[in-house]
Amino acid sequence: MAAIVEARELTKVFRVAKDRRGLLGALRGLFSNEGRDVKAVDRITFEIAPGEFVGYLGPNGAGKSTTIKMLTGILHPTSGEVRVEGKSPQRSRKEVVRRLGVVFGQRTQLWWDLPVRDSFELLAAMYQVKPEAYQEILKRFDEMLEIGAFLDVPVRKLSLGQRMRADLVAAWLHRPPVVFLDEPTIGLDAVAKGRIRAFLKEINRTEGTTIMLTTHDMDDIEQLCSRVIVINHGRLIYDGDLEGMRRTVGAPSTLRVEYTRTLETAPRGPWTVLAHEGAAVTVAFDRSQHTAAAVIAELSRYGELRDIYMAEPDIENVIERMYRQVM
Amino acid sequence: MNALRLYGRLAAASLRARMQYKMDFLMSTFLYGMLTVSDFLMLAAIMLRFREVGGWNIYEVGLLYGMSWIAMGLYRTFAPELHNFDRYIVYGEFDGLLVRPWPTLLTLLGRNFEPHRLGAAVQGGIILWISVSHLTQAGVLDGLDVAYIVAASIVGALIPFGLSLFTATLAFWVVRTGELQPFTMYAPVTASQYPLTVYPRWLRLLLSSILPVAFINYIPAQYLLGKGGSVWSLVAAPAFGVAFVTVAYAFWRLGERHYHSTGS
Repeated sequence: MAAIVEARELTKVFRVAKDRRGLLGALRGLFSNEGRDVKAVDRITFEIAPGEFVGYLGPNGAGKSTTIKMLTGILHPTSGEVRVEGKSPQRSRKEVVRRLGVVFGQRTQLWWDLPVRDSFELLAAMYQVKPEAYQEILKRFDEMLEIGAFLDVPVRKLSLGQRMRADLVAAWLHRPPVVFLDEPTIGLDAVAKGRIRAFLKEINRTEGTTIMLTTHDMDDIEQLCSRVIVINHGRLIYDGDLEGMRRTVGAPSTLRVEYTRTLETAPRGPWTVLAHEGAAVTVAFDRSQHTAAAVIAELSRYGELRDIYMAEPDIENVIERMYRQVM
Repeated sequence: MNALRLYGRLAAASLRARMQYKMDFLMSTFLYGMLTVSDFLMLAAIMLRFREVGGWNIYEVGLLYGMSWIAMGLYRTFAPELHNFDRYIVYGEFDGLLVRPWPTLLTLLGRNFEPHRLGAAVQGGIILWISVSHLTQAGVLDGLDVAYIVAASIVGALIPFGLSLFTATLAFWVVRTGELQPFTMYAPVTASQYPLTVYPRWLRLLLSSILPVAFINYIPAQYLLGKGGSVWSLVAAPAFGVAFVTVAYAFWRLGERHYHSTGS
């Protein structure tokens, strides 16, 4: 199937002004062109097919947001090209964004001082959504995200979870075929995250919306994305399914257990002992080889467990590890 | 839906948002009214003391003053957000305007509509009315002239708008421009309340070229009051306003392409 989103040799270079000291330095900085170039995005190429749910990963400052901003027409690439439904979001911005949805997790797109409903109505007007279609979609979203309860509350009075739900509805009001989500679960508690994931899964399935999502949460990726693209230092370092990524990285997980009594020697098993102090033991194991349950069962043979603490592989670590392997 | 209707809806929403803070809204309306009045008392004091400024009598200056205030009042009612535009660059809020399928300038202006600023235009209108009725009685102006003056005052809003748009657009390159507006827009427009003849030659040149506030009122008024200039100045004033804003808008579009956004 033809790609709905394409990036070809996409590159963005930012010019960082040379840091000058003092007032005189600041004045000179105004007129000089000195500085150094930083490649935020470096020759990235990928294609996304209609209906795909893609996770876009990378550590902070890897160039994720810069890429999303070029895909949505906010930034102009230094070189290379973007195509959304075959059109350039830079050259035909208005035409392209009419069929896009965008959510920036850190910043709401809603009118801060007005009730949620007012924002929805303004957006419906902006995207020329017909009144019947608007009512229908509002009803459907209320079933999925329970937004009815706070439709008449000003946005500034919403909790973070409610605000994110409202922002998601706002992005989908005009039923865009492509939606970009930049950190949609950032700062949310487990319940709110779960609700948003369920919504995204459902809407991707029923509406066939192509979704590209950036996140720091490994669970977002595991539960939602059929494909992941990883970048670091502006370069694409992995593009494929999650299993493949696990294989490349070895996905280490750490498990910390506390026994009811002090252990004389560290337990031995298919893991590496990271720390052992009295009754507390921390081990690292390979998730692609052993399940957490099996490791816990094995550990409990050494004594009764009082407490278990599971640490997911931190995405920054995973990517850092991946980057080292690729190099 | 056309652009004007969308602007109307956005402007109404911005007004509703302002009304959320009732005290603030009432206070700023009141303070702004006081400011307008004190500004006028200042001019009145000068006029009553000297009777004449730069060869223009009190009613002739009143004509300039009225036209200038109507233009400025309209600008401040419909485009106050231009004054705060650098904020959109500093905090990356311009992103939010670019992802909407409308011209960014339209959605920007729709974010802030301040009808209480019309008070300035109304006050300008009163001064203009008093001045014009005297000048008509004296046989200096006829009905057609008056119609022209009213139309030119409204079209004159294009000049402060263009100046402010130019200044705001600079923010795409130099980020902080809020402090520039007083020099590039407020001061020149204030200067246009007096006949250009009171200023030194270099300032007259400046005010009729790079900071073209003379086109709001002085250039057409000079001809209508028989103080020089040609009949062409009547065409030149509105034509210049339209051309000025067209160029400013082209500059804005250039700035849009240069937008750097902010880090994540």
